[in-house]
Amino acid sequence: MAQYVRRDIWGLSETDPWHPIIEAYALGVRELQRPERAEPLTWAYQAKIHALPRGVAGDQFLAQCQHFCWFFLPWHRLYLYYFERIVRAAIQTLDEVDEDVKAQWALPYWNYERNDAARSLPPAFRDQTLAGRGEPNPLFIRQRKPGRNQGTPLDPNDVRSDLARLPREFAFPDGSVGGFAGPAVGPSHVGEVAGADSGELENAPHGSVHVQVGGLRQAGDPQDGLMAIFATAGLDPLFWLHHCNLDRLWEMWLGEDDAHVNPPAGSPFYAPSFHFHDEAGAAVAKTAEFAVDTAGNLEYTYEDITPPAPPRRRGRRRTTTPMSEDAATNPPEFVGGTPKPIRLAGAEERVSFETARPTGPMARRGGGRPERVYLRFEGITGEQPGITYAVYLNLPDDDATAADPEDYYVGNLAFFGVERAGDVDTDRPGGHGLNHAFDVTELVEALDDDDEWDPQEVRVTLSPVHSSGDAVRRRRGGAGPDPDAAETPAVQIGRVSVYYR
Amino acid sequence: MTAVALRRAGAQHPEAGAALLVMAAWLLLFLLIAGGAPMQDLHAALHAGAAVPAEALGWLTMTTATMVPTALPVARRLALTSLWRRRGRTIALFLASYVAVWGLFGAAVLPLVALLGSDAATLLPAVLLVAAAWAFCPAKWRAVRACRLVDPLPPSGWTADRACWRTGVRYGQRCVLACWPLMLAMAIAGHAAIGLMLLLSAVAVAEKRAAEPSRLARAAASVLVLAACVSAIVPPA
Repeated sequence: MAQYVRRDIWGLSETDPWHPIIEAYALGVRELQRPERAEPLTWAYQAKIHALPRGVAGDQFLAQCQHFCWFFLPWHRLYLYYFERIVRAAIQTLDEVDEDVKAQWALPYWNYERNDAARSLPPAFRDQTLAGRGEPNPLFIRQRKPGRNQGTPLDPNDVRSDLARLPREFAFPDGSVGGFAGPAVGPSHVGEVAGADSGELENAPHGSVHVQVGGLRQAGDPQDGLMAIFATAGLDPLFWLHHCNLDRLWEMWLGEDDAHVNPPAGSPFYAPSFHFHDEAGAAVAKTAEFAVDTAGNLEYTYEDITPPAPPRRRGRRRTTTPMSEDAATNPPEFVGGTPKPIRLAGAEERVSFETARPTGPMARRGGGRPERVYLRFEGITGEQPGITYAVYLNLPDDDATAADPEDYYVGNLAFFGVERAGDVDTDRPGGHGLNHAFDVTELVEALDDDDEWDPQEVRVTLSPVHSSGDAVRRRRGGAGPDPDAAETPAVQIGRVSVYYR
Repeated sequence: MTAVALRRAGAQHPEAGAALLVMAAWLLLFLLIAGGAPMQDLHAALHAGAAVPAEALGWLTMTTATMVPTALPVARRLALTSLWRRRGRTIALFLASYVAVWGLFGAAVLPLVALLGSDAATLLPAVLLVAAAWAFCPAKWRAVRACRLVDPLPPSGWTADRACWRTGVRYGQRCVLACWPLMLAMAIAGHAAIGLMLLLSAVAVAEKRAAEPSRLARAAASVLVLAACVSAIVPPA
């Protein structure tokens, strides 16, 4: 039976910015950061479990985070679980923590969708001193995006989970696109599997929150932009609360539709073992089979997994309809894309291309309409993630138009991990660029119904998100030039394309 | 297998045709070497009658049999991200340019091997030891990993053809850097050394397909050292 309840940090903060559970977390982090502490139970070691700097090879424990594959969710769940046990054990050694808190303490989650205020970092993470004690606050990290430590909220589209929770399917096989969790391929640290995409949840809010909290890594400061970089993300105490929320969103996805299920028993999803250390420093190896039972094996539940009211979206939720066997088992068909790579460097970019009539299995199926339409970004490379970009499909060119940009909104594109995407110095990562596909089925249907979809000219707009809401403000003519646009590092997208299924 | 299942398998694996070509290359090599007197006579006659074309054909067949399997995953990925009607063309262009790069390697190496004549075979154990040593060089594994860096292609037209060709050339260059000692050993042993070809091809495929290729360094080197010892005791025919 579940013994621990993970609670919303903003719910706790509304009661008291230094609620005892938050304060205990800070004290636990402080304990892990003590120089006399031995590995593997140190703060630095826990961060290195996620990733190591470029060119440094890991082992079965270090540099093991799973990305761009369906193990993204269970690996991070296990990672959080053992981290939580280590922090709890550290807290339980402290006289200054109340016995009730010691007994109940569980990692809080950052529910950035709770309300507008919750899009800002929780107050305890912005406070430079620990609960009025006059000592440095281990939850405060200077190396975050400018403004975040002053309370600047994240963009609403960077934190929304409704689009991530749309896919009906947990994962699709290798060579496919789409799915909630990521492609059903072998273990992948930073995209070792060629052509594998990130899952919907992994792109946003996962990647977008990482990037928009961490910000840019300035030249000469290897510790800058902690949350935005694979190798340093775990050094920001907020990382763990962000991933705790993503773990909660997995539970939310499972609970909101009977069709939302984890892979069936016997699936290769349950085969690989992942290695961690428990609070005694003993090595443990667990599979996804252990991870999927949160209340039983992992002894925790979430305070609330009620789906938030989704923002208004154009179109119907066609993606919730079951996919035919033919569509599910055949690979998606590429029907058109940009002929050249595009470069994003902090300014708005627009591209257009034509799509061809499908001639593969979809065409033979009859009916003429694809069951799924994907807008895919392929072969993404760059030195660091920089910022996120709001993606729009067939957005009218005229800025002065009365059209609401949200009616053409696809999703926010994040590049978390891009700095490792082309790395060939070590086996893991393996040197592929990033890929992400948005399921735009319902949007294309709505555009088609309103005669705004022309296969001869698909227009894609990528609008930079420097500050909260500025992509939409810019589209409405309400935002001036971006003050930090010139500093935004460039990211290259190999191809923007459309796939039918 | 039903027609529907076959069609689905074909849709999932557009590289199946290229895989059949690889099998045909192996079959041809087997038949020429072990296919009885008529085939062996034909093989000997080809070499006696037109030495250079026969060597070129032999090298092409050997490259198709041994190195094309290492490129099939990339060929599949390129095809799955091409227009449906261009899938076969994409694979053909990519593999043709890839094999062409190995062809250039052969053009540089085979004359040297011919120059050495029967003395070349004595170098085989040494070349296999060099291949084993190469397995411990970071440059080899960087090249193996770089084989995975494949840019998306333009959708159609001559720009797509050109990009596909260039992709094959770039992939071939990286593959040559990664596998040159293996192919040098095969050039010395000749396409009659089927057993050695099978072994070296298996090593190359394993290296290219492994999620963590450099972990295979010791195993690959051990196999190559063993092969060097065997070839020193029993030189290939």
